[in-house]
Amino acid sequence: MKRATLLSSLLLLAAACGFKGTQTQVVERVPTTFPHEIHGGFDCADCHTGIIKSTRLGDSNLPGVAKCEECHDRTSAEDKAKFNPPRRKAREYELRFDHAAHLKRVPKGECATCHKDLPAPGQPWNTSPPMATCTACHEHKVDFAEARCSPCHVSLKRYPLKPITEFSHEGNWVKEHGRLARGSAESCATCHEQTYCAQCHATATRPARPEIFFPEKVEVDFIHRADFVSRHKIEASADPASCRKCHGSYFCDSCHKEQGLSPRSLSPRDPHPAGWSSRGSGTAFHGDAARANIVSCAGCHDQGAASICVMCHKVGSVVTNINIHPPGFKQTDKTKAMCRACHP
Amino acid sequence: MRRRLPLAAAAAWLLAVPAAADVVTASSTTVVTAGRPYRDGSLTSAVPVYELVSISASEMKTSWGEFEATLSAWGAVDGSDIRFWQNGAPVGSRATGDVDVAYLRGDLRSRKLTVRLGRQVIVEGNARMLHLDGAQIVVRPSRGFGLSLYGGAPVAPRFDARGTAFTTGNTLATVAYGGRAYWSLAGLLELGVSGSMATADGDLTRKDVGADLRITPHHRVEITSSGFYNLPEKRVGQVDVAVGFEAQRTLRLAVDYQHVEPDLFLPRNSILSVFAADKRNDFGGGLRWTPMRTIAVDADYHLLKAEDGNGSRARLKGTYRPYGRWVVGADFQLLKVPENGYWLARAFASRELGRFAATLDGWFYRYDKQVNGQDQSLGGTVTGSMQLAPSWRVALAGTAGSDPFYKSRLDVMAKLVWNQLYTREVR
Repeated sequence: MKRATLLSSLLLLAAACGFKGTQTQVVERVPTTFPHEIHGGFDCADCHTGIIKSTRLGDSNLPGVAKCEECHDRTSAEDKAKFNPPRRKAREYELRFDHAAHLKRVPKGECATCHKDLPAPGQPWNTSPPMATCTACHEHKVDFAEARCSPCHVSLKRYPLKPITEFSHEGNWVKEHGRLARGSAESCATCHEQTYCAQCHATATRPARPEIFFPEKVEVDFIHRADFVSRHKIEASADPASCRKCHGSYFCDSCHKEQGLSPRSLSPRDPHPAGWSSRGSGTAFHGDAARANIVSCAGCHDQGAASICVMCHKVGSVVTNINIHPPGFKQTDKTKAMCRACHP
Repeated sequence: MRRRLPLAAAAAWLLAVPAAADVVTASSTTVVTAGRPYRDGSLTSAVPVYELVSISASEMKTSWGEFEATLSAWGAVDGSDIRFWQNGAPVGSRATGDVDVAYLRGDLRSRKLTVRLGRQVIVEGNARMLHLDGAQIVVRPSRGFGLSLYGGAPVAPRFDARGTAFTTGNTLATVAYGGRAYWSLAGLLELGVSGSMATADGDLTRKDVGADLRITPHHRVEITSSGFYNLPEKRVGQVDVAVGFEAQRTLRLAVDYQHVEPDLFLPRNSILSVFAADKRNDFGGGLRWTPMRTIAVDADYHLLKAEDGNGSRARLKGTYRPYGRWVVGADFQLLKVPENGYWLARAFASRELGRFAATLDGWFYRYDKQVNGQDQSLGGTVTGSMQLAPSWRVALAGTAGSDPFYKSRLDVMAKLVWNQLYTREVR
């Protein structure tokens, strides 16, 4: 029933999205009729009066007919036609741009600093400055490497960014991206939907690690690449917290159980070295190891009150004269479940 | 029934949308055959067939705002033995499947309010990539200020074992909630404070407050920092600081420091959370050098300091792109900790030729101390792929090698990918 519901929802979603084939919706471009070049004696803001206070693209900054009438007497039928040009439809921009802030930084009237070309009569209304104009002042290389798109770009998901290798994030990105995403998730979302994040970060639901599904991505620094099973204990010892950022205890224990390493195994074997149980009888003692890396213990022994630790360390058992808590440990609320396991 | 209702509501809402906007669809059918003799003489064989599907319809504009509906899900069938381990999820049937993300997102009131409902990943602040069935609301009043709030139930594999000890995700809880308040000054500063809380059937499992900072005092310098403080234990769980510096157009340097107390990543109701207070520090730096347009060199070194001894992590990676469609690289890594260590040498290459593409990947590990009685591991993967038609691609990959657990391994994977992007012109 669960699967049927999912399948039907999927079909509904597909239907709603409308599988109409590869269709590209093109924004209509209406040719301009205004001859900018013969009005060169004016400051741009004389006509585009709203631009000085405009803080976003899409504001209506084109002058109305009344502005033309300040100079032109349009009494003849010919003039009336000339001064009623087709209006441009309101367009939604995928960029954030604050004209008001930028105009303060250019000399008065020097709009051509950015607007190198203005549309001539008959040309489509598509002479917006290219991105190179922005990057002439704004350091884009660094912004790009740091995935800082959102200050300018509203969305890049549908931008035809190809080939993608040209836009791969640089350096030790696998390590760095988390630190950057904590504060700039919206920047990530400018290009990536959560389906992309989920390929690695939906750890509770994904059927296998991403390296399995993308063996062809040889340049990507997948963290579990190659023989990770053999080296996972070393990696976990070097940075135990890094494992816990994605995986819970049972993730480890479910495999260790099958390998006979967990107390939950049907026929568990002891993977610990000699002298593990009591101090002085070997090279390793479990108490020292637990103090050094308790997360490693959690990979097999995190079973709450049923944990093997409780058997010996609960109040009233054979080793209760040993304080198993770390120095400085203060826990006064013994009503908590974990406390009750040892302090009934 | 509780789960079916939101799905049905989302589907009905989508049908009501008069004009579907941009749609991205992807489907990947993957067959893996693996035959692996263990070193103890036993043999595992597996032939799982995976079907991964994702659909995202975005920029659906209505009078209320702009909406996005996204679904990523998969199903799998074991063609041979039922695999004993499936990423920690309950095993027992030959057929299985799950939903990775499924949400409806709305950008309302000129993007001043964003609401996302459904299965999603919470990224911001100290949420720690929380995989959640719930809701997130982001409010951006003005002048760079914003507030995001989230709440719901952490995801459990196959909709099972939520909040129990059989949780495989990073947060053991039946309920989790939190938020982040932030202020950003475009291009200069991003500052956030956040909080996360989780409970499992009333038992507190997590209660952290965090902060994050990203500042660019000069366009060549960036400082990022973040951390969290565990309220019940009154200890700092993690602090990291990184400084990046673009020394030249061809050279980027970075130094970073991290302090972490790993036991604070355990759920607070775990019995193991009372046994230790381990403190670790690592600091080091790295560089990326691109002496030529075709060459990139990445290097880094970190000193790992823990209470049971020090360690080192180092890496040197070089990538050469002689032509746009060629990539050749080599990667050397070293990790030393008191318990054990390894060094890795890896080489890789990829080549695109019209509709065809091929990759090579080979690796060799040498372990300082034996792992399962062996001190080395060797393997390689070869892939070939071909564009069958626009949006359709087929790939074949073979992996062979020998490692401490498998005397030999041979995995073959075939993949058929359909990837369709319906675009429209944007400016």
